[in-house]
Amino acid sequence: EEDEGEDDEERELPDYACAYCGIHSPSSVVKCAQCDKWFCNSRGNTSSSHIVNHLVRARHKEVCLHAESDLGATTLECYNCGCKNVFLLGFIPAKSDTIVVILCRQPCASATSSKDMTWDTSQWQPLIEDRSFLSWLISVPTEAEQVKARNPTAAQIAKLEEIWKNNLSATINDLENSAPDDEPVPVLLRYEDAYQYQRCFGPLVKIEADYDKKLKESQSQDQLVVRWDIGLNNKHLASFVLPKMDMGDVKLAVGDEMRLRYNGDIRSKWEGVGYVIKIANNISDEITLELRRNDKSVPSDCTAGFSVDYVWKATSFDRMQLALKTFAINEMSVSGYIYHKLLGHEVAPVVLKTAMPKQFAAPNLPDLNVSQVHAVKSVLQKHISLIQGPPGTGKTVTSATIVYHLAKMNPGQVLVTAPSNVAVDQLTEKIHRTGLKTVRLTAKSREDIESSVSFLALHEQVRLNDTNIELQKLTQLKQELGELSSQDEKKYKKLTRQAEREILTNADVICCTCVGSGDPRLSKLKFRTVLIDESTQAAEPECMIPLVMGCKQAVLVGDHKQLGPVIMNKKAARAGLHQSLFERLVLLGLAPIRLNVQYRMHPCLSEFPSNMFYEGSLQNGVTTHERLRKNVDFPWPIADTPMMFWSNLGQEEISASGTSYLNRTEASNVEKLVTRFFKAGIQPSQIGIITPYEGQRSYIVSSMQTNGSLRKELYKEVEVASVDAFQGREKDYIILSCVRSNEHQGIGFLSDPRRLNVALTRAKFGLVVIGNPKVLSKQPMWHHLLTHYKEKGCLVEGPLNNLQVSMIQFAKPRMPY
Amino acid sequence: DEEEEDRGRGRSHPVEDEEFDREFSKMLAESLESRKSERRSAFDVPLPVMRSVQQQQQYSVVDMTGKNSEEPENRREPSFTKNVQFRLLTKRGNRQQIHTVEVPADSAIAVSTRMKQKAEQEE
Ligand SMILES: [Zn+2]
Ligand SMILES: [Zn+2]
Ligand SMILES: [Zn+2]
Repeated sequence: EEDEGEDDEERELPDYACAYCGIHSPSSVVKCAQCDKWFCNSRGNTSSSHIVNHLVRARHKEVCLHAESDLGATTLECYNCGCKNVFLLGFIPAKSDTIVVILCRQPCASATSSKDMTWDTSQWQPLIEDRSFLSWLISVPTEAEQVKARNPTAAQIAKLEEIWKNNLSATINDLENSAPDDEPVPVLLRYEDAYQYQRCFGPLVKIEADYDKKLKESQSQDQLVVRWDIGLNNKHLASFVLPKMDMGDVKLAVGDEMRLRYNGDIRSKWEGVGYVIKIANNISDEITLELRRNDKSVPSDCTAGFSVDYVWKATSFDRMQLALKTFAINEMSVSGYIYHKLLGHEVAPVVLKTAMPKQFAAPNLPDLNVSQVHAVKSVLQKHISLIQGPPGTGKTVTSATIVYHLAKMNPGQVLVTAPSNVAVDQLTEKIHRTGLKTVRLTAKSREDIESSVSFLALHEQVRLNDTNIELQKLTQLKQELGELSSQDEKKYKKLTRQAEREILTNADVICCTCVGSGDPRLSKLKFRTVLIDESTQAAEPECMIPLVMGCKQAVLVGDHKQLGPVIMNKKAARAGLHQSLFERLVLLGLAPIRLNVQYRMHPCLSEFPSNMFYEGSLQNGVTTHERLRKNVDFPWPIADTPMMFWSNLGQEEISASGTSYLNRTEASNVEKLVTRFFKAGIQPSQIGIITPYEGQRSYIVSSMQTNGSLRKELYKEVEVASVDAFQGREKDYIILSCVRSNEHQGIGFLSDPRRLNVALTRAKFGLVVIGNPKVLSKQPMWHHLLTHYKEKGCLVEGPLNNLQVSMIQFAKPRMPY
Repeated sequence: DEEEEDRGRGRSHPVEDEEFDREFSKMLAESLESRKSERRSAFDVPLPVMRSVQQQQQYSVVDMTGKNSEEPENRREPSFTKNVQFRLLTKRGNRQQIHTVEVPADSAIAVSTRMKQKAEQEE
């Protein structure tokens, strides 16, 4: 009966009622000019107004006001050029009068206005502000109207928009009749067998792969201007700026492959493939591509008329799928014990009968503390173990020591992997120091990239190997001529493979990325002992690649309280692909051995993270005395307590690229802090600036250089990067710019506790957090943090040369963790 | 703080939707990108000749909570902020039109206009 009543009400609604909520006062609704549906300017249940919701989700851009509204049936447009795209529209005032006019941002409002002009384009402001139209243009419905209206959720709105793509006449009432969501099957805690395991993870890897491909391939860019160089190896280098790349979706990495094409008029068409050898950084926004072949037709005399595409490679996803398959069908892929453990089956604990080393410290590595010795000891006695290394607790040294003992105790080579090349290089370097024969295997595309362990790279060891005269001759010949005859090339390849095999089989340890362990050059080898560092940053199928090569003893090192793997596809992430194997094993009751002495932070800096993320278990291996710099003149609110939260109430805004955020007040204060540090004698390399948004990162980089009162070069050398980029690293002083400051949109990925943990634990000697306490305190975890700073007397406001203890009232925390 | 609580009432808590955020930003970025190569001379239309009563009035404060407001009640949300009258210049065909709009007194444009006028008065 009630349903019928509602239907009756539906029928009474005028055709200009909001298609989401039914609100229909003429001054609050507008018509979408592309689909003729009406929407209101209220937020309802969502963070954006209904009309903005519709425009974004349907990718529509033009609106028309109601005939009975104050302005009459007007289509919003630029007064000057007639552009109707509301995402570009804004308004400017006249200089001497209270009159305003609507102008588009590009190009009309971006032309610089001269002094004697009537209008002030510098005052341009968008019509859509804080995700809704300006209320003086389209009124916000009254509370009374909103209470009476339907109140669809963001998910329902998204669904309705999805249905409209096929059936424009559908209404919100049709939602219930639509098909259920096509969410993938979520991951489990336990699996019956490896086939079920494969059936679960296989589709998730595929979803992620398809999404990644779509994202990367949409990064093509036309009208590039290219600068040409010749590299040391005589290969052509093409450098260019890719504005699209900083839009946040896709991060270009060194080693990625791109296709450069020439389609200008000066010369005939050309295309060539190359590897990215340099990405945008503080010094320059340019990307450099090294062309693969020595191609004589390279149009290096042309600079304009180029376009570039991303060449997507399925390699890493293929290797994950292959690992899942191997795990399922090959009984020798892992030992029985590991098999059952990975699937979450109950297995009686087994203590390995190993003769314990007399001394736990490895040659040329630092001595171990109690918790590190404990970790080494228990790892050597177990088939599978987890080591949790909170920030600064000596994870790499512990891992290297473990590898040393495992290599000495077990037959065959130890396979050492980590998800990232940086982490692999760091660990390789330490393992090499112990005197073990260590080989670093890199992807072909990264062979030319310099690193601290280049000399341990397999291809380098082959090159330097002077026992095979014939191979040496051919290598030299190839370098001189650029190419070999087909017969020589065959021979060269065969001899190279032979040399590689020899080096690999003679090694004690082979180090590569998790994906790298799927390299064909390792396919013939078996690895009974595997250590995976930073394993909490790898998706579970990624960890399986090194494990299914015959593993009998596995060591997973990581910290599930820091950032996890990056999964681009939301559905796959939601279904559980963002959970690492380490985390699932913890959930299954495998207790991680925790390293609990931190050697990085001033004790006042480790207190909050220890309490918030590690149950208060983190001890300080450094004293207050060792982490204080008496001669550094800096206005810490409490002397000897080098931490502060500097309240900044400036607004956030959308960055120039349009896909990120920036906050000018915070950026300007970052510069003031940096200048102050410089004046106190701190070097640029000792300072790190962390900000979660790419928009703010690039804004800080450029605004520091233009506004800083000291030498430009100094500011250039300060590293400004995302939380994610700082994971695993440290600086003496850290400035954290939070950026988010708004009424309705929340604080984005600052609400992730793992990201906050990483951000707070990078500094050794001092930490400054800049943010809006009113906004941040809505989130319970940030509320705790702010309370902590307040209680310590370290929450301050005002100008840097006259900081005052802030008495600001926090908001009540509302959002869940 | 009270005020913020008030504004949130009647709605559920703001729901975080990073994906929507990204889509929104993408619309902005693509829109800008699509007009990057458009060139146009600076906008310089003379002010419409309509300098009568309204001009002298400079800016006027309209208390929207007052009972004598002429607007029908459902036109605007009940608001405790005062509004400032501005005029909006639009074009229909080739004809200029002027509409009166009421801008919240705490909006950036109202604030900067007020400051400008204050500065002029002081001079
Ligand atoms: Zn539409
Ligand atoms: Zn609505
Ligand atoms: Zn325009």
